[in-house]
Amino acid sequence: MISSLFENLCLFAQVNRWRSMGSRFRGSRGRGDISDLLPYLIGMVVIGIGVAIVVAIAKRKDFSKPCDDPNKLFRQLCIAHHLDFGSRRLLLKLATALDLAQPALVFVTPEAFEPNHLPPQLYAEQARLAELSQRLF
Amino acid sequence: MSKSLNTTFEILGSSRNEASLSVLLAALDSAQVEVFEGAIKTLVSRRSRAGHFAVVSRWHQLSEPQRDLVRQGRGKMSGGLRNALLAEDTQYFTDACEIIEEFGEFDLVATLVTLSENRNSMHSQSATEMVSRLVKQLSEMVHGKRESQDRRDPNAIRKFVMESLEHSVERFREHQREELIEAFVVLGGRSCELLRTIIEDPHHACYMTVVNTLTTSESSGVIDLLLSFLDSELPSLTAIKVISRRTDKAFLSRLLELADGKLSSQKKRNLSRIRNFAWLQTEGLHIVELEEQDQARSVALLSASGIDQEQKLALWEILLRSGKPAARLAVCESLDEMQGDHTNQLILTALEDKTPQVQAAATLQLRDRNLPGSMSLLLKLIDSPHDEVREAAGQSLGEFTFENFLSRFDTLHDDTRQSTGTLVCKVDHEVVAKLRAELESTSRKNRMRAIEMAEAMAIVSEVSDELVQRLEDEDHLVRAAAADALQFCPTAEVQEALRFALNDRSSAVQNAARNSLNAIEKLNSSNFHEPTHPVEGQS
Repeated sequence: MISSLFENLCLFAQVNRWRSMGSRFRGSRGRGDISDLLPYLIGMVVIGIGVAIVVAIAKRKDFSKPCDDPNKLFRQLCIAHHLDFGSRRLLLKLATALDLAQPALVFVTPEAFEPNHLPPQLYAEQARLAELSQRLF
Repeated sequence: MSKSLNTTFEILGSSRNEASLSVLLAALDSAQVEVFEGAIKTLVSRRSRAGHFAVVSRWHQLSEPQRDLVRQGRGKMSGGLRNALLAEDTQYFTDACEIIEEFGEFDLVATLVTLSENRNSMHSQSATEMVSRLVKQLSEMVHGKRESQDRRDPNAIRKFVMESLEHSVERFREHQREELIEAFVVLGGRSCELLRTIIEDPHHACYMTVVNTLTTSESSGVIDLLLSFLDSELPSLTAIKVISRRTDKAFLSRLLELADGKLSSQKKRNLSRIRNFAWLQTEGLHIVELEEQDQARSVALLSASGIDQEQKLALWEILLRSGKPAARLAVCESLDEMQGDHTNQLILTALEDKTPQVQAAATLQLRDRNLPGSMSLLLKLIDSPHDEVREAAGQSLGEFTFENFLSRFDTLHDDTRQSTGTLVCKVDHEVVAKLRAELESTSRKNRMRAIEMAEAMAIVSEVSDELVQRLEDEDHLVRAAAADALQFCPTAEVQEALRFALNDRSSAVQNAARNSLNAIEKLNSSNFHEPTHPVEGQS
């Protein structure tokens, strides 16, 4: 075992000799550098992020897969009722203010839109909520 | 429901997002009727045991239109119903049972059987009653009563339910639920191997319960099962005994229906093993109190049975005296296969029946029984005012045909010729046609005899045209005989023909014609003085 270790050390000692042998065939530009791969790596990361974003968007919009996602259900209902961003935000605010178990419940809770049930922070939105109530029920 | 709300429930109903179930369950608590009903309808349509359970648990609160929404989920809510049955809550259990019975959810029989067997369960007794009701309902489906819109195969359901019940029978020693055994018998049928084994084995734990069910159940399934044993080559003795013991009207009615049409030889063989029927001795179910059709059926059935002949005859006597016409007729027909003094007496009783068909049936049996005075009775009956009786008497006096009379005519004495001739006329309805053929015979002897036969049978007037033709016969003896016979037919045509015969070349014919004309003239003059005197004078 000691003899085998000695033989290996002799081989390492000869590395410089092999380098000098190869140096005659390689130009200065052929020298390998990690910085040369950096653009490729960045490109690949960007592509990966892009793909991930596309997949995430597709998944967000895909309502056909089984899941248990209250927010997704809320979005699905908003899309079905052609609600704009402002209306969606207002409904979310209402659900949060009323402490509903999930935001989609506002679609089956007409009482939530009644002025006397409105929490104080939504008094200002009373008119828009009445309009939404008309639209949803 | 508004279009928007409808859209919401459509999304909630079709979404594969489990979060929608929580929304729908929350909507069930809504005070808004539209939201509540939308939630019910959507939950029923979704495949969700929890959702169905929530709907089932509210059944008792629903109005009839709301229940109609639940009814749309028929056949899809087994999971929810099962949860409700097992929920250890009386209201849920009651709601589930109501739905199961109304929907005919036979899938749940297995769950109910398990509950029934578990006597520690608070719903054990109710589950047992529910199993009985469902099995009865299924039995009726199997045996005919089926809703037209129900496309389920009752036999496939039966097979499935029978599996549960058979397992329950095997566990009878543990649960001791006789009602489950009854349900098993009601649905079993003769093809059920286990049921056959129990019936054949008096030591089986379920034997007494099975026999009791066979004896008392009015279910179509049980009655069908019992009666099917009569078609068996080796019927169970137990079954035969039960058939003889049952006295209920439901069973009796079905038993008597067997006698509609012809009883198969197998049925007859098995019926002959029954020595007594308990219903014959049951108060309030006397044979004469049965409907007319059932009385007649009972005669056919009892005839095939093995009950004692004297008992049969005693029953027949009762029926002949007090039964309905169809029964009296059936009795007469069944007596055909029986012999003896009592039977003969009954036949004579039947001859005096007020219904012609019964008289006719008895008349047909008179000759073969060789009863004293039967010939004179038949001679009376041949003049009966009823066609059926005359027909039957004629059939019994079948030997009095024209051909027989013709062949023996020459050997008969004048008086016998007349009495037999009259009888032949009554028995053989083709006498006139046959006599006409005989009058046209090429043989002089035959023509002469035919003229004599016309006189003997007193039907000269019916063949007078033929006799007038015989006045021109080539043979003077035939002409003379015809002229002589025509004196009994005083029509204008006959007198004209006789006057013409006065110029016949044969003096014998002239004399005969003259005598006949004189006789007619005498007859006419006496008729002028006594207009009611019969025209036909020779008899």
